[in-house]
Amino acid sequence: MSFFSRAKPSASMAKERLRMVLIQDRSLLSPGMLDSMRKDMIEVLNKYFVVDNEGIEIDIDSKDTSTMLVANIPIIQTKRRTNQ
Amino acid sequence: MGRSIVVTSGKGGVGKTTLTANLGYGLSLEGKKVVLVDTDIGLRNLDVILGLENRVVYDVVNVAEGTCELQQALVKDKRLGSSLFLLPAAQTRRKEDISNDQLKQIVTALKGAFDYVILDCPAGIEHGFNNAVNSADEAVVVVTPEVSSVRDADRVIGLLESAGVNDISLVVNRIKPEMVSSGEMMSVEDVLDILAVRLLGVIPEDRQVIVSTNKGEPIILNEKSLATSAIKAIVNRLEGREVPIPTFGKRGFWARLSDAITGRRKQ
Ligand SMILES: Nc1ncnc2c1ncn2[C@@H]1O[C@H](COP(=O)(O)OP(=O)(O)OP(=O)(O)O)[C@@H](O)[C@H]1O
Ligand SMILES: [Mg+2]
Repeated sequence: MSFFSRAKPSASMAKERLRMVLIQDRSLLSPGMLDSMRKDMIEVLNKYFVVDNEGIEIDIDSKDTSTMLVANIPIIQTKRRTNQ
Repeated sequence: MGRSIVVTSGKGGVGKTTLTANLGYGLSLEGKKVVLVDTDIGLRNLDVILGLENRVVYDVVNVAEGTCELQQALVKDKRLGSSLFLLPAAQTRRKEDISNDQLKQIVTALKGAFDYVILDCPAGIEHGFNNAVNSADEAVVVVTPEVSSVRDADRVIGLLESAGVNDISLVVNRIKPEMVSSGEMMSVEDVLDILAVRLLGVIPEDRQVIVSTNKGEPIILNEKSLATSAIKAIVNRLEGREVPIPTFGKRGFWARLSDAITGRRKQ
């Protein structure tokens, strides 16, 4: 077997394709999951900023072999840190 | 109290029944009292794999409905004295003919009398799957190194976790070492990377499995079989002995090199 004549081994393709399909199967993209994550994030963010709750956009982007969580969070106001 | 273990997979035909039968045999040879429960109602097979098909009188649905006593339905494998028993599935009934509570009760009763209660789960994720899974404390997920099987296994692992079965381990079946070496089949490591559960064992593809099955004999008595040592290792690990898991097919130098080159070129 020579690598000159070979395309990418099919086992690697299988693994990559599984990775992608399982991201969806594991329902990271399900509306319920995203919604509860959004609530959790707002709670944390509100400690530091006043954010536009309605304007938050959260998405999962899959490109080639990487997957990214992309969040757009409009900040209305920063909070003044009183203690610590 | 014995252990109840469900052998499951999601995808059909990956080797659940074959593994169940052989684990039963292997654990019995270790001196354990084992009962195998066929929960694949309507598609009974564990009896023929064990070569006990001519001795079946009653089945698990008869027990659930009270037509017979639990003991009456148990078929003894005489080759092993009285350490291996089968509780057959009903062949002419439907999965819905036994409820989850009924099966649970049966399994609980069996756990009182046996060291191991192993449930052979039907394919799919419907009623029969739910029944089997909800009656067991532990799960062994069988997977073959193929995209569809791994995907289904992932789904099943999720369902097991939400059913509260947290002791989950994996058996990779039908590995073809030469295909793994040439990069044409996912390796055990690949599958583990994706599924991220504890590995219990690896069984190679082996023609002797069919030969043994034809005769209604367990594979682990077949000295010629490559699968024999693999299954014995699984038995040992179930018994808590940390024996090494034999691996089959290391990714070869050329496969890794070509992977690296084509992978880089692609990006
Ligand atoms: N390691 C192996 N090598 C070769 N053949 C195998 C191996 N394991 C299982 N088989 C074969 O695969 C086929 C399916 O096996 P089996 O009936 O055990 O699968 P199953 O998961 O119980 O199927 P089902 O989902 O229909 O209940 C059988 O013909 C069996 O002999
Ligand atoms: Mg089966």
